[in-house]
Amino acid sequence: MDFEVIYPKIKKQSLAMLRVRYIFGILFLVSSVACVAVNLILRGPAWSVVVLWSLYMVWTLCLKLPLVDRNLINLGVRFAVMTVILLILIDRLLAPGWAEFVVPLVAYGALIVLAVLFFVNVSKQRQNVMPLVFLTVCVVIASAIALFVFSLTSWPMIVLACVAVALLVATVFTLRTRLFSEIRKRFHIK
Amino acid sequence: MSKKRMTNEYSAYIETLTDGERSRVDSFFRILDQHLRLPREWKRQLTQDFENAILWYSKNGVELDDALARLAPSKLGGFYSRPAEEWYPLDAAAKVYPLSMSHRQMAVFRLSMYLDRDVVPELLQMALTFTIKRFPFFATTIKNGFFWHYIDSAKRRFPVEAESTVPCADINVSLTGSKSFRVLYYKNRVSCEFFHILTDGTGGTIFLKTLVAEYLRLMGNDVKCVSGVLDIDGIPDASESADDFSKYVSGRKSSGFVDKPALQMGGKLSAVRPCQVIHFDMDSDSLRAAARARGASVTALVTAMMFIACKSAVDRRQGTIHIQVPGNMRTLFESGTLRNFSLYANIHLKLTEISTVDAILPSVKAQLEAGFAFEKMQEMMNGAVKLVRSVRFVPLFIKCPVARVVYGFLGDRAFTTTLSNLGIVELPEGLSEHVRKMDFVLGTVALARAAVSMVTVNGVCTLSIAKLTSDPSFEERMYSLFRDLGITPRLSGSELYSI
Repeated sequence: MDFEVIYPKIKKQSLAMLRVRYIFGILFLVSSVACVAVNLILRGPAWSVVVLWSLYMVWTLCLKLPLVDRNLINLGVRFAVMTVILLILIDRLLAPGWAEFVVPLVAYGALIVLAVLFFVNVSKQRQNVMPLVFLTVCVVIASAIALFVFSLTSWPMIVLACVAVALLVATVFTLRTRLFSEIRKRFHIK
Repeated sequence: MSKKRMTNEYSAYIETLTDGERSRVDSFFRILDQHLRLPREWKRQLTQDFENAILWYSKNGVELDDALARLAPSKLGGFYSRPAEEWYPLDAAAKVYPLSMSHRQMAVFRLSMYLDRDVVPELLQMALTFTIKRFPFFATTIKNGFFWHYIDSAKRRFPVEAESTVPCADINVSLTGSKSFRVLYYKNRVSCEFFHILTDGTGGTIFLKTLVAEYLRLMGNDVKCVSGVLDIDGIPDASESADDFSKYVSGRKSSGFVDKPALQMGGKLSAVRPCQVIHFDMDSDSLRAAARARGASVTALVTAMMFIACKSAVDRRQGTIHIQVPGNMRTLFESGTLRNFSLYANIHLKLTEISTVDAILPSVKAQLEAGFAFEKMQEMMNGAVKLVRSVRFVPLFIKCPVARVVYGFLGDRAFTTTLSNLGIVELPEGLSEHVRKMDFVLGTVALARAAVSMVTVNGVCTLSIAKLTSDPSFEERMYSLFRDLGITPRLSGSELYSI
């Protein structure tokens, strides 16, 4: 069937990322199974959990980025939460004793970076603020529990609690009613 | 032309103006500045769009005052001077699209108008800038909620683009303020590609007609705001962005969506989606006459032909071919919505029952009539809304992977191909004379090797096939079937895209 071509020459669609994702997907799957098998055979500490979590981190943060809400704040929050979980896993499963000092340091560092990203361009980032608010609220609750229930009163924990409360107050003060509008959008069930 | 060269050219043009003219231009841009309360970069780009349009007018002999009147900043209304505050939940039909989309697949469809002369990008850009304010629901970006996605207003410059990708290519909706539609141009063609969360074919057609009407006005034509061309200075009505599924749902009987797997056409699935688009342009009167002679509608006749063409494109000799035929709910329920308001009928025939067009036409016709009966559509709508309500408290991070599997396997496997007929598009005086034809292209899904769509305008019926395989059996059979009816389609399309 012969016909008139009425479409322009197209830019070659890059399928490289799809191929990279496919190859890494297989590699990650094989490595995960192999690590768990070796760990089960050799017994000892559950180091394969750390490997699995690290592979999942690379997969979600580098290879399979979100299709919606792929912005710096959202990715930064994901990265911070995943890093904290990884540190806790390493502390609990491999080398105990340092997490209660290091995790608050990493967490407040992450909060400060995310706060800078938000406050540098509030009008644009307003639509992306909710992951940061969730993270901040979670950090306030977690640090309150750590300070008042478990009496973990190291200076990084105190600084983390202060930074989180300050950030929450600053965000509420900056956005005011718009924050409630963002919450309404995020939790709608219509 | 590069932006820098364009700016230099504009500066040089301003130098040639008299003091009086220059003062009128300055005053024009002062008023424009008042209308643009946007981040600096978007403001600069929008201002440059106006400069480019003025420059184009000057090169084409349009008087400065006439040009400034056509581009009056008042046509922007308050759209760019007010912050983006509005947001909209997705309608029942749209909810599945962001849930099921993947890095390779997105529900995008395309509507194009072919004009009588090549498109002027500078004026098309201005037409879009003026038109978008009338469609605030389209000036949005998709966001993740905790339970559902939603669409959030995005005040930004919406650029027109020269066509450079495959038709219905994925739209990047991931970034802050990303748009969910695109406007493209190539030679004499203006195309709009929409992510299905925004609208369906009917809403898309109204947007395209209004956009092209405004473009023609900027070109100096007089186009009336009738026959689906909206007045861009009008105030958007709430009914235009209403979710009419919720409005018309009744608590009575509902029907499910699960169907048995359908036979799929043969041919290796292409990595590029779609790998080819083919258009059959036909005389609509001849096609209608051929359908009437058989006591059927055009949709029924073409559906019957598609069953025959599918049969010649499958390798297996047993099984059932299912053709999904979307129907416009606005014909059954009073609605002014520009959002999704369509459902579909699934027409089945066993492979062994498929013989000739005339032999299968009564069955196809009967199934279409039953599928589009008011009660059936009401049941389906009830089913859709019930399903959405039943999972409304399930968090999105659970719904997404489940929906992807269910939609990818059950949804796509349930039909062999699709036929979406937009019907006859009425154009008002002033627009009709400048439009040669339209086409409507459906994006491809995971498995169906071909998606067929039709639209008729100015006596030209264009049937488009978006393909997912290089196997030409389906379209070749369709072509020979049209010839058997005494209709010789004029063929056009894209080359076969491959990597």
